[in-house]
Amino acid sequence: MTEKEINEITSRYQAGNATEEDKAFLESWYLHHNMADQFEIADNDRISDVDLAWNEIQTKTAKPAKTWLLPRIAAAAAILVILSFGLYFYSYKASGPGVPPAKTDIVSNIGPGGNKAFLTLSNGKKISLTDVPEGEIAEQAGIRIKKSGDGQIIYEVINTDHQEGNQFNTIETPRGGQYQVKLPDGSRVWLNAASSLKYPTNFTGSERKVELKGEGYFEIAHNKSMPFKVVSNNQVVEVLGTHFNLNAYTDENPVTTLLEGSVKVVTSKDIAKVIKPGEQAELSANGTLKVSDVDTDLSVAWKDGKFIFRNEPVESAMRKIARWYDVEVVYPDGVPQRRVWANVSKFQNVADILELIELSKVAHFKVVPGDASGKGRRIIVMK
Amino acid sequence: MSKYNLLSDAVLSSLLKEGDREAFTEIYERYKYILHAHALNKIRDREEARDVIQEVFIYLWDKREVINIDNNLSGYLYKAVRNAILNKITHKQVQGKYLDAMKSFSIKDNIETDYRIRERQLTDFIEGEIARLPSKMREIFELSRKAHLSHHEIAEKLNISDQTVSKQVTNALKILRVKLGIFIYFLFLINS
Repeated sequence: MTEKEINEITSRYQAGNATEEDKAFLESWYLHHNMADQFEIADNDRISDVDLAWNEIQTKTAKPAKTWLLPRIAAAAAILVILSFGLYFYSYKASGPGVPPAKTDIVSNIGPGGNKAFLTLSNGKKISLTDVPEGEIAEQAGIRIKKSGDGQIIYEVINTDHQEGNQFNTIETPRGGQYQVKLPDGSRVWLNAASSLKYPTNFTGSERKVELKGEGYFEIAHNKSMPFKVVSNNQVVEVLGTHFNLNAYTDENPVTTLLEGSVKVVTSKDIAKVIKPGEQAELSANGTLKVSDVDTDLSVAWKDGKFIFRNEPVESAMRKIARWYDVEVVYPDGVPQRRVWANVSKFQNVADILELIELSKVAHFKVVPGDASGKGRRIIVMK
Repeated sequence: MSKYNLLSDAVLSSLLKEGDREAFTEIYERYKYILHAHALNKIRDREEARDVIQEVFIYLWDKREVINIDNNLSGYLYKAVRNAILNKITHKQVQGKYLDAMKSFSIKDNIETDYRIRERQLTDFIEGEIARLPSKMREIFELSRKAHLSHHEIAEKLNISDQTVSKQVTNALKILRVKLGIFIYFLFLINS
């Protein structure tokens, strides 16, 4: 659309002669405008602005005649007394021991996931990283593997003579788990829930190649002579040195989001695209690669301990919740065609998050906690 | 503390039409933070956001007898804010920053032609924004949404029919004004 066309639309709008198309354009634009981020303002400023506005509103709107003011005050005073007592009684009861919070109907609860993973060594030995103590886990082919305190394992080269390749390790997170790996080249990978990364214990040859299932955030150490390649379902991401997130869950379209540097996404049908920081490449089911501008905070929220949903389809938001809380999600009334908005810590109980989502009238939720082992855990999404 | 915060949007709208000043105040209290946060997000200027809110509420009061709230107060207010903002933006020639944004938007083919879908998106969008407000401001909206009495509940508690309430909300409220105090007390007992 040209500047002239837009000005014609807006002047028709001003004159009250906007056509249906004009309104569709302006109102659609309005919906998208400034949607990606929130305008930050101090709480006090918010309060003072709405108070100022209210003063202005009151001065500009004539008040009705003040008839029967006295009886009103008396009634209000009486109600105040009774109400205060009622509220006191109410809150006293609600906060009593053993009484679930009364403000929601999501009564059951499920705790969040945590740092959990399994490591499979090249000899086939499987180690639970959750149970193994901090410190050295194993030594193989000139490489030392250590667990550090904060849900991370570190690979260190201790003997550079020992440079045989083809020794592969796999780290795997269950649903409700996450973990970090520092690879021998200094690159770091954050693994989201229900994900796995297969990698050589040391990188040799002309490239650094790893395989990802699920979702990972990569901070790749720069090495021009050895490009880093991440192989996932139906695509390869090639990088030199960069920060990016790759969502390759099998129940989602693979999405590569770049925060820094530059990466090339190559699909199994040999379509290749180079993306820039702030861009995202989504491989659709029909094999096309769609590049768009995004707010990268959303893609890496999981790594920063958050769920950030902005205009996110219910199903997509619930898939993320399901993986982290290790629950099944069911939709007896069908999937609500609504959008979810939330920005919350992922280290709280599931009910707190669902309650927040309920606020925007997306759906109602019921949590079924399942048995002691967590079997049968379920979130029921109702209209 | 006003008892009006227990009333549903629908009841408040009816009372507003009758010229009830307290209903007007309660509507402002209920929606002030989410409407203001939304306006601020869209125009990113404190002065102008305040202007928009003032304009919408002054109009709401002045035209209370003729406007069509259509049993959807929140929807009415969201649209009113949107229209006030679009009005501001389209005033005279569109300013540079909006013109550029509209130009690049027009290329993207994101136009939603069904106004009902646009309105629902607007509601989802604005009510989503409350999730990002500081919790105290969120609670005001949350509590009023959860703790209100609908026509049906008023009818039930006062032992009159739904139709009577719908037709004569004002009258019912007069009865309610007298009975409300004790009634609320019982309501809390029953519910807790």
